[in-house]
Amino acid sequence: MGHFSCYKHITTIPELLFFSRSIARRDDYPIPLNKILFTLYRRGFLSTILVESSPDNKQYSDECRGSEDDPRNLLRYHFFNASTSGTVATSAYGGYCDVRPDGSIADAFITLDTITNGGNDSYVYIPCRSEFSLVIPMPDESTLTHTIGGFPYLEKNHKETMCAQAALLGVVQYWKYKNSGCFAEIYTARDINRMAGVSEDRKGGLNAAEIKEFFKQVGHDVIILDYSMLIFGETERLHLSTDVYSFIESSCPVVAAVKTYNGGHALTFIGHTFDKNSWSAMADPGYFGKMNAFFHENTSWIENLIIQDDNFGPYYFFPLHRLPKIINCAIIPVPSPNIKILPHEAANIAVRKTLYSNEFGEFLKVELESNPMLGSNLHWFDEFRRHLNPTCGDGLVPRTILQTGADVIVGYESHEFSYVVKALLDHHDLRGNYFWAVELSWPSIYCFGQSKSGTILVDTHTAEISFVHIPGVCIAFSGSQDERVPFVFIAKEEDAPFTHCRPGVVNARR
Amino acid sequence: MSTLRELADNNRVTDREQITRIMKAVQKGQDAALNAMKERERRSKENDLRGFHF
Repeated sequence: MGHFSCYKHITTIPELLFFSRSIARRDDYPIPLNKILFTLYRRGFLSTILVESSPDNKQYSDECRGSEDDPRNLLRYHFFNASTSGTVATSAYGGYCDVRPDGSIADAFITLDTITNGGNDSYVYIPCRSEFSLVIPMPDESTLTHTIGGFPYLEKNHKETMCAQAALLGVVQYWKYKNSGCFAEIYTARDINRMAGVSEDRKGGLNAAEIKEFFKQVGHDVIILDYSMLIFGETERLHLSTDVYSFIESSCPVVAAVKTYNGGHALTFIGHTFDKNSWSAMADPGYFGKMNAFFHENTSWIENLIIQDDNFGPYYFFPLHRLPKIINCAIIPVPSPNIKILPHEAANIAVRKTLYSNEFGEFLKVELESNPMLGSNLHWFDEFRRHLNPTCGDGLVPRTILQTGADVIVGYESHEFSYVVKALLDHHDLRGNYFWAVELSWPSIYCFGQSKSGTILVDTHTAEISFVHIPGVCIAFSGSQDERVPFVFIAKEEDAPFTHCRPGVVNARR
Repeated sequence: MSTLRELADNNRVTDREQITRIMKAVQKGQDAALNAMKERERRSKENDLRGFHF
């Protein structure tokens, strides 16, 4: 923690421009700084700015090593939406920004309130959200602790910190928040370079092989999807967008290396919009024949991903349809080495290969003949079946998210089949195992009810299906691979659609 | 702790034909996914990840 320096209050655009120019001592226009200041201003967070001198910032101290720069020249700006001047004790905190002497940003953590409408937002979703608590020095030498939600941001310094290191540092800080045991020794870009096997002072970014080495050395699991040899149509065919969306929805930020006109760049994907009234989602299959024969891609309703771009600033909206055209590779740190199957493959196993198979239909028919379904569930089952034969934009919508066995149990807590799920996962001690939970919906309940009518669990390592739940009935598989035994359970109560699992891995720290 | 077997002896599918059907249904996808995974791993070994700095 540094020490209190002064207060500022900004209430007009001219004041804001003057303030911005006063702290960015360079000729060019500092885009990230202004993006941060203007988005904060729009939500009233520049009403009070507290300036802290010489804050504790390991990254900047490291940057100054071996140069003439003095780490004490860093200034930290804290932003508050206090309307009464001089008091910040009861106001909302908008975050902080560590500004290098040239106006670039050595570290920032800005509230998500700049892009969302608080807890009621149903348009912007940030599953890769972390919380940050900060002790702020006050004028009377007391301190104030504020906690906000957001994602860390850092701008390159054109030396040892380029976009790859900046993106990785943000993701490292995020995973430290989710799991305090990981990335214990990583604080700065130099730390990343060292672990990647390159010179700490390297003036340049990293390539995917070096990033792979970094994760290997720190002992954190990572999936690297290489699209460098593919052309646009092929990346589409590999369901890149579906996979990126599912990892984000599972609270796993994705670093994407993208091709620019003069080289490569790294972006960090942390959230998405949810355009439930999307015309394209209906019109693409309905008018233009763009239709998966088996289900309706959930990304049809995702127009934008929310990204961090070290060159431009935090929380930009990135059009999802552009990703397959510019992707080079995707880097996804994951919480377990056993995540081998990709989300689109899990959805394919669950829906196309299983639900649509003749054997599954025949199996169900025979079971239901001897053990009929509850009358009210026949209605839900029938509704579900209608979406297996899509004619336009009404196909089944799978939503695939990463869950541990413990998460699945929590998700089924208030459902009649919770005892089945619990018995299944406890019996084989699968609480700690990872599954792709393929939630099954159709457009109306997916968009406007944020609900599902069933779930299929696919083991992320073996690709085995452990549990199939469709309206009114579930099938659980017990036993080892060679002698798996199916069990069938018919619901005794109405099995109406129920709420989606919340994004992310539930048992992770929030 | 209740196991599936303890919970649901009545729910256990015993008909051989039925077991074959459902296992066939779930096996198809598993095989396809494991093949895709192997192919991905093979490709990633062949690909040179060093060519693109960012």
